[in-house]
Amino acid sequence: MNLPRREFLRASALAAASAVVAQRVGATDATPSPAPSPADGIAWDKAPCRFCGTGCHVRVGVKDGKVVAIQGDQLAEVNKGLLCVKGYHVGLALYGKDRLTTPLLRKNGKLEPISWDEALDTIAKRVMAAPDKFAIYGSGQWTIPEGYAANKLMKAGLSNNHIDPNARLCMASAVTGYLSTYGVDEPAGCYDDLDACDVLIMWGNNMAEMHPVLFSRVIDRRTRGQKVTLIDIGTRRTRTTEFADHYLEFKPQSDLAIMNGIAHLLLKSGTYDAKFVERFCNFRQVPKDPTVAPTAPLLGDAMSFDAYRAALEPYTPEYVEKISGVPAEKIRLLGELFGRKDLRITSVWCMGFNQHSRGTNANRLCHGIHLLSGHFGKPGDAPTSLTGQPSACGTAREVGTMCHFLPGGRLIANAEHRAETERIWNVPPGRINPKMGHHTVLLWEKFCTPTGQGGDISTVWVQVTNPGQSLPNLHKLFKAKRGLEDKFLIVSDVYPTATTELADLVLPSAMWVEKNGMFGNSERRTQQWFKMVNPPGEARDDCWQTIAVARKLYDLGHAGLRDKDGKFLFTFKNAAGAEVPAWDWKHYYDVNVDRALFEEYRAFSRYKHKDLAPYEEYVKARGLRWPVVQQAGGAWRETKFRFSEFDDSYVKRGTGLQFYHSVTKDDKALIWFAPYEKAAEEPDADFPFWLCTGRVLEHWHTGTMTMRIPQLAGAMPHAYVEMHPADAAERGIANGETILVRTRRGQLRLPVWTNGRGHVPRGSLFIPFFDPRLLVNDLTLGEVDPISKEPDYKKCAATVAKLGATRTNTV
Amino acid sequence: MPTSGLIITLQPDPATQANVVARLRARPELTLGELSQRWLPAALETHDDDESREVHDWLMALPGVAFVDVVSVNFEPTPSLQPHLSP
Amino acid sequence: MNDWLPHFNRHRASRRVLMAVLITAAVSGYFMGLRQTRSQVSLTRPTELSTTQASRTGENAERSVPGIVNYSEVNRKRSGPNAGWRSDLHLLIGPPRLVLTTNAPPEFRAAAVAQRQTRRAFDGAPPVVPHPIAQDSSSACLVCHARGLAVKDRTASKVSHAPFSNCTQCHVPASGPQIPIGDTALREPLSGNTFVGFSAFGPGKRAWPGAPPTIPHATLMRSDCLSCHGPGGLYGLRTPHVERLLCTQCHAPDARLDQRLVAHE
Repeated sequence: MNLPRREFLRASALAAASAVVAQRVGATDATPSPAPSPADGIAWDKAPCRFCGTGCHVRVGVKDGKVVAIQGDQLAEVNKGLLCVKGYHVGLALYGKDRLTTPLLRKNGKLEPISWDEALDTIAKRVMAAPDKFAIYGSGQWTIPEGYAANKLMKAGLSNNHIDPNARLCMASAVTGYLSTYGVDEPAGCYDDLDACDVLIMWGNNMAEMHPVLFSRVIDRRTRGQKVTLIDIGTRRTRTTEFADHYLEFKPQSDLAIMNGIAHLLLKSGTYDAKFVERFCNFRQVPKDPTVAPTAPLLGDAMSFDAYRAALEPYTPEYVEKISGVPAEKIRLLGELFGRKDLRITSVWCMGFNQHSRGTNANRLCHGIHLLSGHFGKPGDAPTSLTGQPSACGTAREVGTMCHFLPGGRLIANAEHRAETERIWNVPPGRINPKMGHHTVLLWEKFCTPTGQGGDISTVWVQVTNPGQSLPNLHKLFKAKRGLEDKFLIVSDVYPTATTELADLVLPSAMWVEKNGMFGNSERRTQQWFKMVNPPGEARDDCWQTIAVARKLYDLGHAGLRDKDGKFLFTFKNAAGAEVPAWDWKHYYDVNVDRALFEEYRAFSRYKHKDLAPYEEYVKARGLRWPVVQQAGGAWRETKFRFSEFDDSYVKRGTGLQFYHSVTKDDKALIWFAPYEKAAEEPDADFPFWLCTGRVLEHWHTGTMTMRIPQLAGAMPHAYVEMHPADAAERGIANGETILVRTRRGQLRLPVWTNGRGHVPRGSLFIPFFDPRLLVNDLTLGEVDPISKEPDYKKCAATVAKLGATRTNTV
Repeated sequence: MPTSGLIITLQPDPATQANVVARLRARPELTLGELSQRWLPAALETHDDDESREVHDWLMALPGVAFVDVVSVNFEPTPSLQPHLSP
Repeated sequence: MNDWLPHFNRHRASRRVLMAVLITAAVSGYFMGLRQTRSQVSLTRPTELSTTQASRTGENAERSVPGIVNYSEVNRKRSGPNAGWRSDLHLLIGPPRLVLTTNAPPEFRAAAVAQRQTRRAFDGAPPVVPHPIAQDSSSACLVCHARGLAVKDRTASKVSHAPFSNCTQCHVPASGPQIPIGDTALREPLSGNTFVGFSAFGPGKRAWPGAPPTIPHATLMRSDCLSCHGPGGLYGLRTPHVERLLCTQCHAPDARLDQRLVAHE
């Protein structure tokens, strides 16, 4: 070091010190300013996170009428004080600059502000004009009371079953899987299984990004010195793979073959749990003729154990390897693990099984290998589906906001169920339409078909979701609405979305802690929160919107909005017993509408033993897992392990395990055989790539909220197509280059990411669906599982091209 | 070769202050600034951190010094690495 | 230093080459260091030299005919034309030095708080990562952040909570995945956000001048005080007595800030 440099440093150091001295001299004897009193001014309250189906609880800090901070809730069993990056920033979701704050009606092609009264009138008149052509498209993000109110308006008020939620697109196959295995929906186990399992198998499930808090709950056990073996069975390497002990990469759709391969090995080696199977299981197969009855595909044909064994005979490890690409020895590894009685094995899955053209069968087979091997009903031994939305279970499934369900697991097709529902709703017998409504894909197809050509849905009201981005095959199922003059799209939302772009009427909604709410998470946990801040401008609760429209219809003289006694269907009384006009926004919060609707809904919950506790119990708790059963002393006890005698009070003493909603009415569950079948569309010479879609850690659903949170959008600002570097190199495509991805449904330009966060195998593409500017669902297939009617978003055939080469003939 | 900026806080008594300043001035590694009230800014140059610490301890032990604040530290790469590494 | 700078300003190309060489040396040295620390984490000691085969057997022969030394061996094989090549990792990297300080003047504290805010949506939010990260794995994070590390003028702060291994669950890079896209408009946000996060609690309260201040913030996920208040912390937040390890002996947390509420039954 030379002298001038040293002198400079010395001078700088001296100057810095002198500067501080000067300040001190100036501030002599000054007393330090009084510290702002900490914690004062911030009010904290609990709420479940707004985003995924994990159901973490957060503490929301509110100051001067605004959310200012978020903490993980240490009292919450789900997350124990930890959150993911979305959860920590959930409070920012309220404050995007372009919040919708006033109702907007399309006039001459442009959305113009109107009053709430005009908006409600517009809806009511459309409904009155054609009540049977009206549909509500809801959501697994609906709160329980919101979904319940919409369900009641449609099924009791309008005798119209055209109500379906976006949950059809994400967990319908899980529902049919549970129903056809146990006779009742939703997992038997819960997240406690994650704390107890020795082996965790993630089936097509990138848990590290999609359910990070649950994933940490497992891998943190390793930090504490416990051994837990993670097996990632997937079609691309992800962040989850980095933590896995075994990674089995299979060819899309061949998960069916892998599970049959496991069952084959259990039978071959005799390591299946013969006693368990004998006592608790019957066998079923896909029916020879699924058309004999509407329930035939769900109930299947009985099958003997020998026939089951024979059906599995071909699925040798070598044969499974040929189909799946997974080495035979890895199939044997799975077979051996399931054959071990000393291990606890938990399987988790989400969209990989569900968004599958054989989604119901994939779910069934997974339950099947757990039942066959006896890995069921003990803590850590469980097949458990995860959900992607905060109340897919609580609202869509339990409240039954689907075109074939009534609340509490009842079916529209069942006359007894209809009669009982009419009794609880106090409406005349016959009020509920016995005909199933349109499921999601059919509903949007009918809406986008000209009325003259059989398009029998003319008005759709969308609440709390964004079908303009999340439906598959958007050109056919959404964008075709453009130009159909007699079709009318109503959208309640908080931000402009791909859906509001085609909306004729936009209603500004309150969101999350701007309203009271209740959610139900993936592990049967019902959660409650209170309104903490006011919604901006004229934004109002979705539940109020439903009730206000119902009241308009009542005022216009629609008979359906009256019960047997002539009273309005949504009548609420305050503590003093006086009726509160909740349809009038000024009075909506004069009574806790959530509590009133929930207490009414609770009456439905006993039939399938999904017992819910009184509202006040949820106010005290960080959620409770149903069945919540009242004890002799009056306390309410939640159930962690359903069907297991040691925990479920509905199980007959001495049975150990009882499937008390058994399809076969003999307390047994069903083990299904279903063959491996090809995907609805597979790569060929013209479209040589598999195309898979999904999420990323930072963004949730269609990015409506997370793309407006700077920390999340900054970390992942845009969508991309993941491609194998060798595939890219062969085509002269560079990392970051914008290319054209094309399928038989449409095309999309987007940047390539090779060696990025995920690693697809050769011949595969992956595109996340969060980016409203790059709609991958322009490309996806609308093909649905024949039983659950859930579309396959994970598999279709695509091709790629460099832009220069194709611009001329494809644009 | 660390160069630190220090604030040496002296005892309030002016007689001891003059005595202390004289003793400080005798240390070649210290460059002193102007004394204001009881605070004396100084720059300290040493060969390594250990030497810095030594000087610091010496300062703290010096009668008449109440406290020493470190305001800034600059670590420059050592000009020659060879003496350390040659086998 | 000043005398060679002008020279290099005149010869930009050679400066670039030199920089490239330096960076290569630093990076390869860094990763070699990582490999070695996997078995025995000691970032403060120089890389141990093992007696190589070459030095025992054919040193003279190699010296007479300088051969090319494989890069993977260069650190070990002290012979040939690169004999002087050293991985000077021990001089580059180390844990933050213990530097004795006093309580920082208020303006330094304010500056430190302001710097924290640039990386957090609100006080208590997980900070965003101010550098690019490996997108497909969290395993690299803890190499620097598990114990805290000073690399030249940059400090990798020690994690303030028990080490969760899925780091990217909460900490995401502020500047995205840095895909080299042509259409940079895609990096523009859809809309702004008007959220104003709770910024920071003031300094802790003191019962009397000189009394130990109380902890003015929640301690959830901030259980390791030295992460911010230790030698690697920002100057304005550093403790004047880094040698004392049992912080809560004297500094009391605030029950209203922590979640010490009465649990439901």
